[in-house]
Amino acid sequence: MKRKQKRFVCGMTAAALLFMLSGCGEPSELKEASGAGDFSGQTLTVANWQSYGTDANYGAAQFEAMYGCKVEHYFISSVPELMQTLLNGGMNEIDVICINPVYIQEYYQNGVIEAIDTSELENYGDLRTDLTEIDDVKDPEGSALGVPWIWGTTSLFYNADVVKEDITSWSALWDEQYAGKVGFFDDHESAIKVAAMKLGQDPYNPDLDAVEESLIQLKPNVKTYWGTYDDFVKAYTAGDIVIGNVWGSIATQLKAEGYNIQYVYPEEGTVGWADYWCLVSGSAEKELALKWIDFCTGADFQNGLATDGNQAYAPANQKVLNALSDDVKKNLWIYPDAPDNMYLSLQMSSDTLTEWINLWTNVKASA
Amino acid sequence: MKTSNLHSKLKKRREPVKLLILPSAAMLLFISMIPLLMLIVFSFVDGNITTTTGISGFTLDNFKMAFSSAAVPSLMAKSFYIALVVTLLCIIIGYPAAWAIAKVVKEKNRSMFVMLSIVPALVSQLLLIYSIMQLLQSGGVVMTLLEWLGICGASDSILYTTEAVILVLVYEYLPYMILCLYSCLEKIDDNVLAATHTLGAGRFRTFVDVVLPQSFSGLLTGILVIFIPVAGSFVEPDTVGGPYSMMIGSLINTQFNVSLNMGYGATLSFLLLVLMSLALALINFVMKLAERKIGG
Repeated sequence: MKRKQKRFVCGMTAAALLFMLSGCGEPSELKEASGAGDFSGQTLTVANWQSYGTDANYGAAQFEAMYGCKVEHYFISSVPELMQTLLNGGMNEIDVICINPVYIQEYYQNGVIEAIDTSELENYGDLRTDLTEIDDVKDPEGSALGVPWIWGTTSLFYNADVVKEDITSWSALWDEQYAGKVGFFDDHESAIKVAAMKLGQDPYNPDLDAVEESLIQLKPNVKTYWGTYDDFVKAYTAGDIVIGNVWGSIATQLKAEGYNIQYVYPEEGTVGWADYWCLVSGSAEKELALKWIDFCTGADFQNGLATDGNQAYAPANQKVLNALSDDVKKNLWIYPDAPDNMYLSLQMSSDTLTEWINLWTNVKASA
Repeated sequence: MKTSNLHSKLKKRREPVKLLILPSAAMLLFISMIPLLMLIVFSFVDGNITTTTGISGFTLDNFKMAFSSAAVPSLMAKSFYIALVVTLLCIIIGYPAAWAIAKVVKEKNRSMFVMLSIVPALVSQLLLIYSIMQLLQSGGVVMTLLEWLGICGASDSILYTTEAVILVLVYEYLPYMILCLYSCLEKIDDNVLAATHTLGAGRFRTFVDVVLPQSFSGLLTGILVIFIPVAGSFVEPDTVGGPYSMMIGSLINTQFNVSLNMGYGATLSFLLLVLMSLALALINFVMKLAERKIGG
């Protein structure tokens, strides 16, 4: 953590030096030029994961050209680490951060992020309401703490070469004809949500005993509990698993490589995730930070994100999403429409989290 | 007077030796004693140092949770079972191999064979696992060959089963057993072996009365070096294991990476350590007993 911070400070110093050198000739003009709408000479520091849209050519570079400012990336290595960095002086350096709703309230309660005036954002009204209208991303007064920009799902896949029927329900995973053929994501949250959906219960608050029983009943069907991209791809391409649940992005990549993989949203619903932009409390570049958030939810960037060949993340801007070509939509598994019953990863009390993790451990440890 | 002079001279001569011990003593302190102490302290801790909530104090809840959990005893039992099977397989495969290198192979070729047998130990653990997976997967080289021979179908791979976990672990740890046994077997004098034959002992008698007692120390080291890490494995069951292959190491790993409950993770590690020490004490006792019976 310390080394990261050091690297961060070094990076910032280097950037500042570079900037000073480049601006050596006309320091006075620079100051005069920076009026409203012109941000030349200012630096916005953005905390995001590496190779996650904003460092692509349609991201920060585009924004810099639009506003004449500089964008510095701070690459997140883990969510707890980001919080530590912010609390240990990072709040003076970083202006806007990308986190997911699981942590937004925790960040807010630690005073790290502040409410966002969404009336300043031109694109906010076009964002999917199933992502904006969530209590976990609002402060007690109902103001937004985070603005969604990217989302995805962990849904049901099947190998259409082997599975000849149309799969429409999660209960297919429990079907005896797929004994020893299921690849199931090794993750307490999606496992419990999938079982709850199959049982017709509230995925956010299911009857845990019934869920545990159901997941144990699934075991004879499971070939492997996959944990990483590599685990999944190995098992799928070798033909060891033909049905189960998987990240949408893996399905997209396998399809692009010519595999006949189908990725569907069962009628009971699907497991989703979304990432949000949050404003760091007391940011010195608040105006620019809001411009950044608006940019990241605007048509140019969102289109760039949706058509980025290396990624398969869906845009949070519904207008942009509707206007995508059928091919792009198919690629992102949102053709003809995006799922309307997504159960997102949201904040969980530590007691519930422990309960869920213990349940999943019991399922995996059961003979 | 003279003798005391000699003593002090000898003492002075020993001083540098004491200094030379210092680095290893420091290492023992810093990478073994202090971490062990920390493990014990952290097993009574409530919370996690890397999260914002931090550590909120000391508690016995971790131990209560471990003892009331149904998963912990079954995972411990499975881990010990797998460690035992892997160790036994390593002994069964390792003995003939070590004997062959020490006594059958020509002396000038010995070091080459030793090198060859420890090559897997020089390769990254993850690479070993992935290469075995490549070989064993459905439609892979081994399965296709087995189908061609009419033994089983190409898609009946043993990947994603507990047997696959055991296979990979044996592959990873066999070199250590061979090396430990080789170092002992190599020292057995060929004349002694020749003598047993001239005195009328058969191959079995020679093995039990001469070879086995003289290779006991290597065998014991091999068991220690294999049994302990195997019981704590988590990468192998997670990658090549199936739905019924979870081991205690995976649960400990989960505490640090998923639930961020380092206190409970430390408790489980501590319990594993205690059980492991008991098991090793038992193995040691049995070995000593056997050594006295056979050797005496």
